[in-house]
Amino acid sequence: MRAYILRRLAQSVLVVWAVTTIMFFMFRVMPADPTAILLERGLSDEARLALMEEWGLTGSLWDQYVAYLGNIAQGDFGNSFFYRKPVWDVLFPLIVNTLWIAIPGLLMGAALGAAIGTAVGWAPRGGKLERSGIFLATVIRGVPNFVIGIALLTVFSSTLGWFPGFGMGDPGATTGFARYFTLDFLHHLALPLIAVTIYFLPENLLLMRSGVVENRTEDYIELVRAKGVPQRRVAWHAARNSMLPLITWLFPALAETIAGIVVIEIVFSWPGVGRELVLAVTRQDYPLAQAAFFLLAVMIVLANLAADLAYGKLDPRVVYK
Amino acid sequence: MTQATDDTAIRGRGLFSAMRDSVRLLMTDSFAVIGLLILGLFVLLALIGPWLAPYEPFKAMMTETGRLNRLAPPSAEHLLGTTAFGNDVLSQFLYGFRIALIVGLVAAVAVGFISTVFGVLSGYFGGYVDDVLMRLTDIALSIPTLPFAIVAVALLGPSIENIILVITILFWRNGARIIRSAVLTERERIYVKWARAAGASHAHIILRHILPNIVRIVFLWVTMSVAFAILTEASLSFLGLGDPTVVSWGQMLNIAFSSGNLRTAWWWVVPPSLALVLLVSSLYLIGRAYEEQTNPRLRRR
Amino acid sequence: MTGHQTLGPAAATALGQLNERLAAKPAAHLQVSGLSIHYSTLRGPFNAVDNVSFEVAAGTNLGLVGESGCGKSTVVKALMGLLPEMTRVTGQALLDGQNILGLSDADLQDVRWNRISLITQSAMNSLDPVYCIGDQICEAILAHEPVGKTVAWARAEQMFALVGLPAERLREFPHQFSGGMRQRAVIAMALALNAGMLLADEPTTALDPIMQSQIMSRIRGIHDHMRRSMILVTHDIAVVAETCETVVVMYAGKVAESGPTQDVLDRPLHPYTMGLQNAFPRLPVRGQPRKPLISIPGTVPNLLLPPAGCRFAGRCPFATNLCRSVAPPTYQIGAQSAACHYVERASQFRVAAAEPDTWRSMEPSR
Ligand SMILES: Nc1ncnc2c1ncn2[C@@H]1O[C@H](COP(=O)(O)OP(=O)(O)O)[C@@H](O)[C@H]1O
Ligand code: SF4
Ligand SMILES: [Mg+2]
Repeated sequence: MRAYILRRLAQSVLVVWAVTTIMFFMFRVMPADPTAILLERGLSDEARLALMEEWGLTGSLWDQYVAYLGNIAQGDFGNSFFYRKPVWDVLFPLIVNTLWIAIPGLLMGAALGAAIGTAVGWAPRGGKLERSGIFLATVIRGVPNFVIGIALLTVFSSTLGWFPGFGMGDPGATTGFARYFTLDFLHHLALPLIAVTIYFLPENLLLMRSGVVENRTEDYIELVRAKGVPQRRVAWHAARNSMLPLITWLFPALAETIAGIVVIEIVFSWPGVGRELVLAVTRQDYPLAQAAFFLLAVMIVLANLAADLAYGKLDPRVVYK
Repeated sequence: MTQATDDTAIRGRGLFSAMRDSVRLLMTDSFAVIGLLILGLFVLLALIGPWLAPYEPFKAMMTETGRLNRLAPPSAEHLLGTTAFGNDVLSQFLYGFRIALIVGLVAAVAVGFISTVFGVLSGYFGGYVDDVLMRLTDIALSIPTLPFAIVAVALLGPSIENIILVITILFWRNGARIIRSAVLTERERIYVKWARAAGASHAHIILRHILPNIVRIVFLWVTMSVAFAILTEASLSFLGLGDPTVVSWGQMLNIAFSSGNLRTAWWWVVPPSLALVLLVSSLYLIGRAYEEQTNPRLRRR
Repeated sequence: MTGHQTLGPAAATALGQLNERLAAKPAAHLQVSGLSIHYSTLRGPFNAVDNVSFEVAAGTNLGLVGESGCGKSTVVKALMGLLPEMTRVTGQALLDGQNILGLSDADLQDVRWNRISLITQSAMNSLDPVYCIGDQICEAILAHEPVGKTVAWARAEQMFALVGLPAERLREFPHQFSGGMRQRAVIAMALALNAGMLLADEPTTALDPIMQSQIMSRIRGIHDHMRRSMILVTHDIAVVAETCETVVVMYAGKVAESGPTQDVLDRPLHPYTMGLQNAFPRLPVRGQPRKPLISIPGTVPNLLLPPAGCRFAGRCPFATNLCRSVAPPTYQIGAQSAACHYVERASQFRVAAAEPDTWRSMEPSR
């Protein structure tokens, strides 16, 4: 078990290293003039040289790469051009905001999807409930997340005025950590959260439905039925077994949520990491963009790591090697 | 086993007949048929859309008084009204079909081809090729898709070619994995062993035994790739990172959104949204039918 | 017995009451008549069981024999109400006078495990992989008896002791058990409520021969001691000889022959029974040479298109044109009955059937 965790950790570090290398090439080699991209415009020559020195942009590509890795290892991603302060000062507060919609949204989507998916999977094959459940879920799965966002925004915010559709709090609202526990915050949270939930629900539903359909013909389900327990209890056995693949899916999905949530953050002007990435890219604030991308990649690696460890907890058959 | 069946087992099966079988099976699934019908309609509109469009998509419309005809609701002249910049919505909408399907198709062919080549080589030959490929996909799977696309397109420049390139880079990895594991199962089948024992070449085995049997999985993956590609392009365009020289639905929505006209100009928002939903859903309906076919445990007995 | 030390006085009393209550259950009587079952398949109805009748007297064992695919498990599943939703079931199965066919799931809840329990064919896959064995046994007890988890667990420990498994292994998961242990766990589960009728569907097929005879003698031992009624499904006619008072031989969904085990095995009336006897090793009879094993050539016919006439005609060495066109009625001879046109020639057939050549000559006919 310990050995397994250590090996998985080492693997994760390796992946992070690979991602940073890809980033190095993306930001420095792909654009025609890397200095143009990495340095602010309109600097005097001395200032420019000083900055290049600081950024490790002098010397051969190899020297640059080593300097770059060194900086990253120390967590130094430089200063944001736009905000004129260290990128981490900009990004750290945003991580919480992203997680606030990513994790509850994903969990709600998973829970609702699993519940409905069990009902659909347990329904008679070829019946009304099964067919309409599959059809609706497949169609809703095809709705792009920004369309979900736009629809929610137009209906519940602009037209009905039930929920605010912009940002995390009204002007003059509580700031700091305490803000997350105000009614105002929850009011703002509602729509983006619903958007993420709807986005994840159908995929969960279909996954759970396949699992239940696969499991319901298994021998062990027959024995559970033979025991004369209530039908709900029998369905529960099938659902419980179908949850294993759902869990393996959930963590990479969390990773994808954190990544794909970009669009929902933009629609609802939710100040998260993804929105900041898009803003940074459009403002050509490359240090910030680089750090935001790195942050998202690390979140994904961690989510995958968590998935592997959680699976073993849920499936007694898994032995860590 | 008689001599005759031995021979067919060794000769394998034609790729095209396998494809035909797979399509025929698809037609037995009513949801897939709905999907195919919608897809067919979209392909038709992509072909003739620009020809049906009443105006140039970026042409600014003027009123009689010589002012910009902004945000006009649907009328006989502009069936779907105009945008905040006086463009005819119907024309932009019709041009959008072509972009969506070009992106979907090109990316899917590229993704399908690369995934299949890598998947088959790695699954069939195993060894070093396989090791390297698997490590590569491990890493590739940890790259956040949309953020990568955002950064890459921003750095490369927002052109439709670059968007397709980025989509290809992003999605080959999943496909290669899925196809590889399918090939691994096929490789162990008894008729493949017979064919090998009978001295068939690798190319023969791959073309006549492996590929025909993984056709459904490749089709499934290609269908899903079309959907992912269209979604990714639409998302990028919605974020303002699309190709500014062409009209796409995501871009239409981006402009409607960023100009603050979501609520007022429903005629501008609804058509591209609906078209995206229909197109992607139809692909998922088709994909689902393949999924059901490739998973024997889901089949009804 | 194990586990008692850890029980509090209240729980110990409750366990005692539970055990008494369960021990008081009488053995069940089962009368099956005219049972026909059609599976619904994509290519039309599949007549897996056709007009099957038999009776299990209270406290006796009935052996249900036949090759794989003859419909034995289908009969068992019908009795438990486990057939797929679309299956058409006709006929009657009176369990202590109450027809249990066609009951709703809610009504079946009282029948299942309370009055009939099941030892499944593939114990390997019959246990839910994500629950520990103890929980799965308790689930059955808790569904039917008004006791708490502690008491149910204590009862499960007793059942484990009965099948020779240590109580602490109740906490383990199915994958931690060997095949033989899993089979014993399933038996323990089947005994948990002391149901009046036990259905054992090939309880040993998945095991190696040594384990098979161990498990069978355990079943027999427990059974002698508890005096339940049992239907034992097997394709091994020798097991039936040791265990069952009556036997029903099924072929392709129909009853070929039935009667007291002794009579049927000593003087089989149906050529299929004679074939089955040849196909399984028999206990050697002193003074006679060991008989060679002869398998019946051919396979069970496809029941989507059941053959006209006798279903065994395609493989029967004594088949005539009559056999191929007219289905034989069931003839009663003493306590024995058989569905063959030529029951009166059975003694001749028995002599011929003992010759391997009789069966070998069948082979080229296809
Ligand atoms: N769910 C089902 N649907 C259709 N046919 C089935 C089903 N289950 C079993 N059968 C068929 O019914 C016949 C009898 O099967 P079964 O009762 O399992 O036989 P046995 O237990 O004697 O081996 C077989 O031909 C089998 O293929
Ligand atoms: S009826 Fe004819 S075919 Fe059938 S068992 Fe008797 S002799 Fe054989
Ligand atoms: Mg069976």
